[in-house]
Amino acid sequence: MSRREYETRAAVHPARERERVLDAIRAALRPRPEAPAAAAAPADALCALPAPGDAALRRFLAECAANCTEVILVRSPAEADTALAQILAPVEGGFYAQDAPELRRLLAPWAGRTLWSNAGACDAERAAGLTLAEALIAQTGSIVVSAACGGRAGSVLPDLHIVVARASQLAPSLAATLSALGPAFERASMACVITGPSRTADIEKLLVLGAHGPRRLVLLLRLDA
Amino acid sequence: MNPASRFARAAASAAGDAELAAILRRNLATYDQAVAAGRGRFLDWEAARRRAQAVKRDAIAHLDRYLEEFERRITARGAVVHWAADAAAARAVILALAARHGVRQVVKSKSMVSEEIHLREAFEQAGIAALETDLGEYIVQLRNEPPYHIVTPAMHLRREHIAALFHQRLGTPASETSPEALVRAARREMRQRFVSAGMGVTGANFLIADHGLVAITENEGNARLCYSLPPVQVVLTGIEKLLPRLDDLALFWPLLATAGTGQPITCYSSLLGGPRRENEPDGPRELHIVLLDNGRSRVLADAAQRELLHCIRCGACLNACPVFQTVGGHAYATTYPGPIGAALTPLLRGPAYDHLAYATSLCGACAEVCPVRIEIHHQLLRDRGHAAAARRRGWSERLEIAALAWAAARPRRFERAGRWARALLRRRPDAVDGTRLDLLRPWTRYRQAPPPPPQAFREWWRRRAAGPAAPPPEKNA
Repeated sequence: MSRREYETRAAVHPARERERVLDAIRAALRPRPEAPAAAAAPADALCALPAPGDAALRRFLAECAANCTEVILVRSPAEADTALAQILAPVEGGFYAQDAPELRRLLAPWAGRTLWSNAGACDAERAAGLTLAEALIAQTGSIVVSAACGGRAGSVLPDLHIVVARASQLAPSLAATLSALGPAFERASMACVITGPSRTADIEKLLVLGAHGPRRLVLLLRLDA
Repeated sequence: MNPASRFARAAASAAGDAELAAILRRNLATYDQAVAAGRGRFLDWEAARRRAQAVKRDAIAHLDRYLEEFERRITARGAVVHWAADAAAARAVILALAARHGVRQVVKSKSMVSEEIHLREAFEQAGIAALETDLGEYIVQLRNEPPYHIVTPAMHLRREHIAALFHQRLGTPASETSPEALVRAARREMRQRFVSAGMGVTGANFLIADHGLVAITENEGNARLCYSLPPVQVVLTGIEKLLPRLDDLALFWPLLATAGTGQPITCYSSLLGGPRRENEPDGPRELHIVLLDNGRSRVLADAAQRELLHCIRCGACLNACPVFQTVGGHAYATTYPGPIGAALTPLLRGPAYDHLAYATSLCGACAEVCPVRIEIHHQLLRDRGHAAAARRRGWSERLEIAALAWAAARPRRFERAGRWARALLRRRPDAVDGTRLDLLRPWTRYRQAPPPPPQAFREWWRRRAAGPAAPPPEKNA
């Protein structure tokens, strides 16, 4: 393409352009082709679903192990405190956390180092981001977060993303999760299905963790009610 | 040089590059292994493909309605939808937005549509620095090259090439060639640019009609940074990316990931419903979505080629194609290389790219791996027919076709003409070799035609019917 072409059409009339594109599409689809609305894919299109209950948790843990999510099972608030202390002990720098009662309680010892999501946005200096989750997916070993989990950057900008969730949030399939996720967009502008820490294979197809997002993804999974 | 000669020259040069062949072979072997494992996770891969095809057929057949539904729902949440009939309109819309916000720096995540409209060049001409943040795209941007592959932009490079590039451009130690060190260097380099950029530009893998959402698939997290940090976000995408329902992603996310890289689902599968809400701490104040036609409605108008718009840009057909494997991605000199690019480009850019209909062996490997079952090789064969019909034939070709038509009109005549031809070729094997009368010239230029058989198949068949044990005609006897 010649350099000159970049400069053409300095102004675009929005309404006219919209009609131009839509008219072209409508004309192209006359007569309307036969294409009945396809049925939604069954939940187990991807792969066999875990049985309810204990099997779902086992499947989730196996998928997480495969996608490099570190899962720590905790059975009481005290165990959660201990586990978090162990993860955070070697971390230098400040934290960013979703403003939620459970995280307020867990992070009480580090309150001075923590920026809460109601006080501002996560910045590039934060060493760790702590959020809750919207849901967990057994089928793929995924963690679903949304903008309601302390905004957008808190779960992707820091080197370490720590998620605190409960086993009761475990959904069997991606399909079940998506069906439940639709209404969430009326209260949050973004949702993300996270499946393991950030990665790239752009150099010789070799896997490297921590491309632009977190190098480590840790899930504190509470088994108590 | 016209695109056809450029392609022939670039293809010949790439095909003779042993180092490149080794790099591609290794890359593709890794891919093949991962995809075989990935497909194994599906209960029924073929059933999943058939369903995906049906969903895309519905989406494309009702494209106008689904686009309007998408627009209505996402606009209700504060996003702005722009329509662009061609590349110039899309560039104008985006540059006007950048000007209105006084943007000096843009961070971009991977988008083939942005390559299609040459958005980065347009930004640069307007004095705006646009940074590709996907690692592969970043590497080829530093090399001032287009992406080599739809999914794997730096597929043609070894780590040593990248290390030398980073040493020269970023000042990293020349000895640092481990992928880990190179990824760290690129990450460090780009961090500040994410924070200071005035605009983030992303593509879209899918647009969801029933909830008005933009779905973006990635592994690195750079697209997430592009839609989280800058105050203005632009989503640039083609009108064909529609899916009717959010539920369809339960199939399309795993399907795209499996066909693209062999992953069960990509690391980050994001859904955007609008700009930042009042109660949210970050995110763009404005979300603009640019819906690009740029020839797509023309493809849509032809019922026979409409299915090309089902493409989800997974890159599987490139990886499976013996031509792509031999000539690589750059030889095509198109935005979309490989079989899907060879089929689409002449339709989008016109007859100057008709030669791409011949950049195929018509083996059908592309169609076999396509996750939405596009019959790419049939499309290429049709394109070839169109190209041949549009081409002016030379006198020798017309003469030969006329002779063939005359000879083939009657069985006796055909037999007699065959005898003459065999007799001529036995006495003067090089009678037509290499001349304008040689129908097989493109082939015989590099190879010797085999000597003609002593008898025609029909003669052998007659004799076999008469006597019991006649041996078949010796090949090349």
